[in-house]
Amino acid sequence: MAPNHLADLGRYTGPATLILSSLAGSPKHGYALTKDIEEFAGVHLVPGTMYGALARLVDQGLIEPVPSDEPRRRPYRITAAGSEALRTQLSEQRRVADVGLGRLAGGTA
Amino acid sequence: MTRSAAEARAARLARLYPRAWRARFPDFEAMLAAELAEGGRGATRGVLTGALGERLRSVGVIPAVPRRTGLALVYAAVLPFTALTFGLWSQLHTGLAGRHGPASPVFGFTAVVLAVAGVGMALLVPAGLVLLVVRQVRDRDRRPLPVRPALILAGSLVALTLAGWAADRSGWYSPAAHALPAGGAAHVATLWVRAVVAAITPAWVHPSLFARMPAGQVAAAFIGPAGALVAAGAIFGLVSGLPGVGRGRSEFVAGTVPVLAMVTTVAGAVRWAMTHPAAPESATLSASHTGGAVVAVLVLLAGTALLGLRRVPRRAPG
Repeated sequence: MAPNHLADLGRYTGPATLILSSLAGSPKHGYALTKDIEEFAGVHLVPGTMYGALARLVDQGLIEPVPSDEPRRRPYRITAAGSEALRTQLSEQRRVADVGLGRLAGGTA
Repeated sequence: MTRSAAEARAARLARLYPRAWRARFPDFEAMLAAELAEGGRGATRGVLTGALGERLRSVGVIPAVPRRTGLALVYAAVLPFTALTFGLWSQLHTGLAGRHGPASPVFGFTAVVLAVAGVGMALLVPAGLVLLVVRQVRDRDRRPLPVRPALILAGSLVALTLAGWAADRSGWYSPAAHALPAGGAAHVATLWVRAVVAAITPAWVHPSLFARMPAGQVAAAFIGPAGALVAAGAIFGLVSGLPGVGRGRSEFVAGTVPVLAMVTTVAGAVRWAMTHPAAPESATLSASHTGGAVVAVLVLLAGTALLGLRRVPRRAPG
């Protein structure tokens, strides 16, 4: 199994998963990321958390800034390593969800 | 909050972050102002904790991407704990043996176990760094190397060596170093023990005692704790920045071995202190004298390591 880089991010693992999921669709800047995540996940990331996660994702090479004409707005896109990390993380989450749902369906605690 | 008040507050809060960080994220301040204007709860707290983390990251106290912080906490406690244990063992071997019988075999055993753990750490840390470099080159990994913690650790060990050397040259008798190697490469470790143990002195309670000490011993008493603290912090940064090799069970074993050694040592130290509560003339393991302070620090360090071990995963993720 591929190493799970997102699991290394501690309290930023959740926000980083949401950010990568958002960027998997298209490059976005901070404000657009916040709105998109609110829309598809119902989660509001405050700026301190959002940019803390962005900094770690850039440091890990999982996302990268996109050249932009607007100096005050810096968009980001997911990298190949970021796509792989997101795939690993979501597969693990799906596996846990499948187990939980399966046990609920089977009536066991 | 009005828009202008929110912008002013956002500007003040943003300045808590390092300048380089603000340059990387030019839209952060505007986002924060919008959040504050909308009355977003938790925005200020998120900034305060985030800024503190970024400040610590920027000076290399914590690695850019922290990993295995539990194991790092265990190994951060190992160095001062090992130094104090060897100092205690030496005192039992020399200072108390004539008065209260031979040193407890518990100390002999745990000293050997901790020496193995210390040597293991000394070998694992550089090996891990080499592995990290190889992996990053091979995988074209852009994660930063934990170079700064390594340099800080080297600097703090030099400071501890110099402090121990100053104490050694001062002629001040140290039962904590008496039974330890006085020559060869192992003498460096003895100097570290002298520097760390020099910090535990009744002179902190009775400062006039400092006047009776030679300058080298006084220097060690002040530099020792600072050097040990910086070394422990650097080890934390180094271990938490190592690559993800051996995660899971082997990592848990790597954390459990030194913690078990620490718990065994603490049990032996407490037992000895309880057995010989009044040894004021030696001031070594009396619960009310310096020895009591040593045991208290050992308990504190072992407790810190236990807290770290609780955070080490017992199995590999997935």
